[in-house]
Amino acid sequence: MVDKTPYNCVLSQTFSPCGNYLVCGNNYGNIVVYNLTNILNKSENNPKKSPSCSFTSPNHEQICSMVSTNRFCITGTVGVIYGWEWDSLKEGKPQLQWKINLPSPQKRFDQIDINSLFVTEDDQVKYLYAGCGDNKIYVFSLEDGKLVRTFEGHNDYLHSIKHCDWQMVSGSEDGTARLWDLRQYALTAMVEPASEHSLARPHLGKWIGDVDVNSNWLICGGGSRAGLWDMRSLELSAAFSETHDAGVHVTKLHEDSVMIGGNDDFFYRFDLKGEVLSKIETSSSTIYSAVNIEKPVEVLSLAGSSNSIDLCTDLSYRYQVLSFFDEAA
Amino acid sequence: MESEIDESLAAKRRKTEISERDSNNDIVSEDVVSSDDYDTFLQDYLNRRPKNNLPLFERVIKHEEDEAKERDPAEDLKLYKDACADFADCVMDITEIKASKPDGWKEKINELRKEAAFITLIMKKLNRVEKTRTKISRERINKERHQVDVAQLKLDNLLCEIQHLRKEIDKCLKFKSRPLGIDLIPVQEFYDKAPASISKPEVTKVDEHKLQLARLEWELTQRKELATLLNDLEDKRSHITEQIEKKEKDLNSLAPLIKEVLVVTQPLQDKLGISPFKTLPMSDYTSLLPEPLYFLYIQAIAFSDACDKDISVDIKGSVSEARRVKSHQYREEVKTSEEDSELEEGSSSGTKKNFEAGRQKLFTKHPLSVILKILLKDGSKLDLQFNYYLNLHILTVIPVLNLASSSSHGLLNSTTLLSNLFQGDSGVESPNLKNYYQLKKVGLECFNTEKYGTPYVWVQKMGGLNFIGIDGKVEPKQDVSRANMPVIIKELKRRCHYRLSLISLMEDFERGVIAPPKDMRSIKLCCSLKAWKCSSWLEISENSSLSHLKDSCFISPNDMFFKGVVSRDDAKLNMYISVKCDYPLSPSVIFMEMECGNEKFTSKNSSTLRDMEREVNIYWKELLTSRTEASSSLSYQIFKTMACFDILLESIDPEKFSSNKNILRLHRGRNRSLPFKFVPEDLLFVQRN
Repeated sequence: MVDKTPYNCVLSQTFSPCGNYLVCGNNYGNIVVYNLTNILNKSENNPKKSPSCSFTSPNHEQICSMVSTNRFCITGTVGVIYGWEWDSLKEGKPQLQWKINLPSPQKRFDQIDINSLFVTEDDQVKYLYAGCGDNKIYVFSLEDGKLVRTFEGHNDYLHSIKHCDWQMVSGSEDGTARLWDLRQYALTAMVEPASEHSLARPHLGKWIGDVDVNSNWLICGGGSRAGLWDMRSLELSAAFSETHDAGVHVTKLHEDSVMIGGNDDFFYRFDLKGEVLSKIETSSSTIYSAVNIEKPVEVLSLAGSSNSIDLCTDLSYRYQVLSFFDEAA
Repeated sequence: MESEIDESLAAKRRKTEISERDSNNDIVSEDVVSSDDYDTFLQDYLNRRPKNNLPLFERVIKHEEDEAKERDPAEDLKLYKDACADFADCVMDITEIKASKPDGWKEKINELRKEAAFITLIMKKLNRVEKTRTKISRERINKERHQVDVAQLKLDNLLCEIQHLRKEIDKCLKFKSRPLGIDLIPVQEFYDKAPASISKPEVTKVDEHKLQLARLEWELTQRKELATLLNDLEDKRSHITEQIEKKEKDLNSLAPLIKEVLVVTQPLQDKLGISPFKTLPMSDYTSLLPEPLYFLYIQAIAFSDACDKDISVDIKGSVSEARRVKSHQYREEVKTSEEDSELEEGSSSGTKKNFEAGRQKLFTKHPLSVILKILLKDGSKLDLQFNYYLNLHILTVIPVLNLASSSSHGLLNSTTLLSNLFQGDSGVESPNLKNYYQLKKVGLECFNTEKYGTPYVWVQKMGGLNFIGIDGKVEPKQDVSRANMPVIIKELKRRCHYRLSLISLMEDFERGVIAPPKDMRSIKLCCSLKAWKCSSWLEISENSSLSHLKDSCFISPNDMFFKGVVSRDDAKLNMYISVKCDYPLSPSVIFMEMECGNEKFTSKNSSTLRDMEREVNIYWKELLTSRTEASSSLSYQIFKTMACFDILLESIDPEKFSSNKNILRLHRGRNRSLPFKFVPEDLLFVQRN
């Protein structure tokens, strides 16, 4: 019989604040929790590679994005954002603490995916930023769940939003990555990878799959090749052309390196000049999510369109493979 | 000292210049004064003016230039050298005199100085002349060089032109007009056959080119005529085929009627003593049947008499042989134990001959076999031949499905026809546990089902053999047979019914016809099913781009495999379809492989195809609106696949492959999923989540 397992697709992941737990959400609305301490320590004698706890999001919608705060694991689904208490997840008895409903869409059947989330803290007030399927970025106060602010301007849905201090960058299906000033709530700049000759891949489209930013660099990629921009001049400084000629879904800045994943057999790490530092073979044909932590141990987790999640304790090789659903016996 | 001389010279020159100018002025003033006739003076003045209006300096220069032209440079060189020598002499003399200081040395020195000054003058003059000469020759060189440049340019241009012309000539030489590839009819025939309006002999006889054109025109008209003729003939052919089909159908529908007539007239035939079907007295056979076959036979007869008239039972085989077997049985039973030990010894010595003999003995079939014929609703017939193997103590079945319509099909393959009739009953392993060891003894791993028939569990049950228990010896029991008979017959009929509907589905596919699900009837497909054929487990496992399927839990070697090719323009989608033996109870699984240029995409490397497979394989139930439609679920799945393929192509190149589907948004979410889910109420395609 055909079941859902083979077509599982993990879209989002996050680590618990303590770094001992990894949470993943898939396209069927299933959420699983892995106890990393068990998995990483018992490596010698056949570790348990299945989740310590698994549950389903209330409406079985796909889990598009995740972010964690000290108390909550926040999941962005379709039209609704849920907050789960970390303690309850660790104990294996998931407790839904709160939910935020997005403004309802104008068109019937149009459902708003919450494709990207991050949290900022400002004078002890936490704000949740959500990049959504209706081309807008919403800002909610985590105190009372009220909508505080909306950023508008993109012409198509948001794939990814990231921030660094007061600067936010957003990548969208419309092919632009826009920089916003969070203090003034204003658009400050815009880059279009598809207009760069060295990046454009017209046969794949101009969409942007992921963006990342730090104080010096901006990286984005998608239908176009991944490229690195200098934040001061907003000039393209490097193009990452080693990857397979297919869509890029993950771009990450990590210290002095860049991590890139997507529809490829490998997950790449480049230096800032575009030279390959390492290649990790992946279980998924497409990587949609890559998260990493430094403490208590360095872990990089890669997930995407398969039932497997690749764990790397070193940034250059695959250490273990977790399974989302237990493989059918 | 030299600078002194120079200075003095310069001063001298200035003086002369001034004096000359003065003298000029003098002349003018003199003229003004001396002449009485003013007009004559003016005329004179004007005549002289060109010469005189030049300042002295320029005149000197002019003079020197002329000199430079006239004088021989070699001579000048000599002169210069002499002057240098003289000058050196003078200087030497002066030095000597200054040193010795003879009488009157001052005058002498003055003399010598003057002389030296003159020599310097000469040298200067020569120097100037030389400079002028250099200037003149330089100018001349420039002029010459310019001329050479112009000539060079001209040459280049000409060369270029030559090359261009050569190219043109080459092009002309290489030119090959299309008609050269076409075989035209000979000229004479052309004039004979072509009408004058085309051949135009008055023109073409003279002009060869016109003739060629006319012949081509004639060729075209002829071809057009042939094309129309072809169309006509094809129409005619299809018409005739239709008629034939209709007639065949009529004939087929006659068959049951004739059968009925025969049945009805049976009593009459009996009375008249005519027996077209020779029926043997059954009692002769039945008593000779081995127990399992006997139970099977009598239960089937009873069932057909009581419940189901479509079933008939028959016995086949040689009676005399059966009698011999029966008489031998007693003796054999006594011998069995001894033979067993003998057999063991044989196998331990391990020669092939012994194996062969052992096999033959093991696969001794009872000479009689029971034939169960099931008549299906559409007139097709299922023949089941049941055999009993004496030494293996199992029953096997060989099924043959005879279709009412004459078409034959790979689907009639007997190996899959009755496989998994009941769950897990694939017939690969014998249900009699003892057989495993018996077969091993003769060096066999498994049963050759094609040769000996398949030992399904249900076949044993029909013969009253129940191998579920762990008892050492399984005796046939009548109640087992009785209990299972109705269920098994029902399943057999159902399986055949499904298989027949599957076959008609396949025939539709081969013609490229795909029935859409009820809800999707208004959806128009842009792509079409170009090819449909049977495939096999072997073909799938050998295809490198499908290597990931081999380990998939969705398919097993027992399934039936098909390959369908969907295409639109140059885009091609290969569907590898695994149909379960119990279709449509278990859904079929479709694997996709898209060929795009040189690249091949499967669910392994394309998340879009993965999504498509998910949509078709997991959500197949959505396509059915009622249970009765189950038998066309494969058709619906394929239709859905094609609709999804249209959407996929639109996402790749919206301009080239615009599909007429109602789509809310083409991409959604981080995985850029495409709208594969169909909403019947709004005839809309949306993303699934």
